Amino acid sequence: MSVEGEEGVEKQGAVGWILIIVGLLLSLFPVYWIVSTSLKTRDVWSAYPPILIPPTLAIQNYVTLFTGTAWLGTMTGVSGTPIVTGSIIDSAICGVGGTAVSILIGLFAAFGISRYRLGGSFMPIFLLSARMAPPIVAVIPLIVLYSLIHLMDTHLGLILAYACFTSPYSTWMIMSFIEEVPRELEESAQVDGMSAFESHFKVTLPLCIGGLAATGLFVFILNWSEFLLALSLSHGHILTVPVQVKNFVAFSGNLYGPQAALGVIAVIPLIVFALAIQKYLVRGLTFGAVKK
Amino acid sequence: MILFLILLFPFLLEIFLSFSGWEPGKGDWWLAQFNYGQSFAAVFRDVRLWLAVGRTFLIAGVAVLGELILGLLGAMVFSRRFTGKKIITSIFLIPMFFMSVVVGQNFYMMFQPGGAINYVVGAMTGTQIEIPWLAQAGTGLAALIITDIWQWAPFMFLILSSGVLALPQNPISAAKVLGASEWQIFRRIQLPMLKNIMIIAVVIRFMEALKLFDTVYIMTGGGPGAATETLSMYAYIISVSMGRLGYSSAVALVILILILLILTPAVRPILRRQ
Repeated sequence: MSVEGEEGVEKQGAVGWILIIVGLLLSLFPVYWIVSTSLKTRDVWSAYPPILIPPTLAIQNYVTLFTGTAWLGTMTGVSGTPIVTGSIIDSAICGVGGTAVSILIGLFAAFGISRYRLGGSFMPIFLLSARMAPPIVAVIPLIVLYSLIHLMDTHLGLILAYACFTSPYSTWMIMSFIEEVPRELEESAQVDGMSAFESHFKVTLPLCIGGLAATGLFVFILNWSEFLLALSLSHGHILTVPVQVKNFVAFSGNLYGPQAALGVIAVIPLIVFALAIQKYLVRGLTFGAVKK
Repeated sequence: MILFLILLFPFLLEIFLSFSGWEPGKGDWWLAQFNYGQSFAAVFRDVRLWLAVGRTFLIAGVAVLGELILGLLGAMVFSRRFTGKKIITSIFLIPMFFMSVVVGQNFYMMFQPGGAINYVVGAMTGTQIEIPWLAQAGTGLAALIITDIWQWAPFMFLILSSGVLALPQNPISAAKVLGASEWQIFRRIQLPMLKNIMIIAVVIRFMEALKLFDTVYIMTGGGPGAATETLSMYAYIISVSMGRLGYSSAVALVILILILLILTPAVRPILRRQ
């Protein structure tokens, strides 16, 4: 029987360290860039040669996002930056709502597939194919459909769309968690008098709570960053954060500072959540094909 | 009984999603019936579409290759012990968690003629470089590929390192005792054992890369003319910007069938997870 590799059997050599440092520099430079740009004053944004360290910290870039005050007085025709709180709220509503529905669907589907072989052998391919198609392909008929049933540009419409697109992910992830719980537990509960339904929800489910939470965060990350659906299915009544960032580009042209600030704000929750579920990321990203 | 219904519901919902994918062709209800045949013929004659398809495969292919190499490199380096490993691992994963739009916006700024990338490259080589990355077709594609690699190499790294850690140590120790060099161990022993996981990672990443839209939209909008259009970008342009929903439905259907045909056989390794 082979012995599994132990993490950290050997100490890192010099070559390794050089690679690590180079890697860190490459990974972090763009991150540093966006943070530093978000703190630059107007005259420094597009300076050439680019200034790496802003001489003064322009916190007002962050402030104007929420107050929209026109601190760019010298630029005619620009009344200030768009106020961003609305888009954050919209993103939160659609993100949380979409995640909740997606998890609900995924939960039932996962139980059905792993415990009852719902859908037979066709199901896995079916789910996977839902992930293969570029979203634009499904968006086109959705635009038509939504216009007809008046779901265009509504929170509900976006929530449903998000749920549809992320249910394959949540189904597969929850499936992999359910399958870690041996069937015997449910069976012995049923012998003791529980119905099948009860045995699922009172025995297996509590054991999967950690996995469910991780799935929830994972799906939320997907929904929060989602751009194409929001772009196509909303016309201004709803504005999610990604669309807002894009609007910044067109609206402000070259207002790099506040734009970068919005980017930083948008990304912080993602990084926090993602680091929290780091353990489960591999599972979610590879559809449970690889379990760490 | 209720249980069965409840369990069936999500299944039906999934069908709804795919069914709405089959709905194309009803773009302009009254016209579609008559134009449908023509739409399809037009799709096959549409050079711009097929260029976009080829371009998308090119970008995806090169990007995934780059990510594979970097990910493999990272995974091998991280198979050793060193101080601060956990934190550095988390730091390396950060690019993956940036929203695509934000990455696009960031790199858009960095790839400007007077931007950070030209500056840094120029500083390193001692000359002043002013490549207009996003204004030319070739460099535009390169910029998109570089951006994708930055964003997703951590993905490959994450998956491959869990694979590397799961490799059985016996063959490796045996080889060391017999005097094999690092490189030989890597090439002859570890690489073949990693094959399965590499395939899974590459297929998944490639699948996602074909859908590339967000960064393209923000950084080049399709490039000078249509030079950096990916197929999602093209489909978006015809459907939402031009509003030719009837035609775009036909395009969408063709794209869908094409991708399903190509990817379904490739996806088998993932399904083999039992």
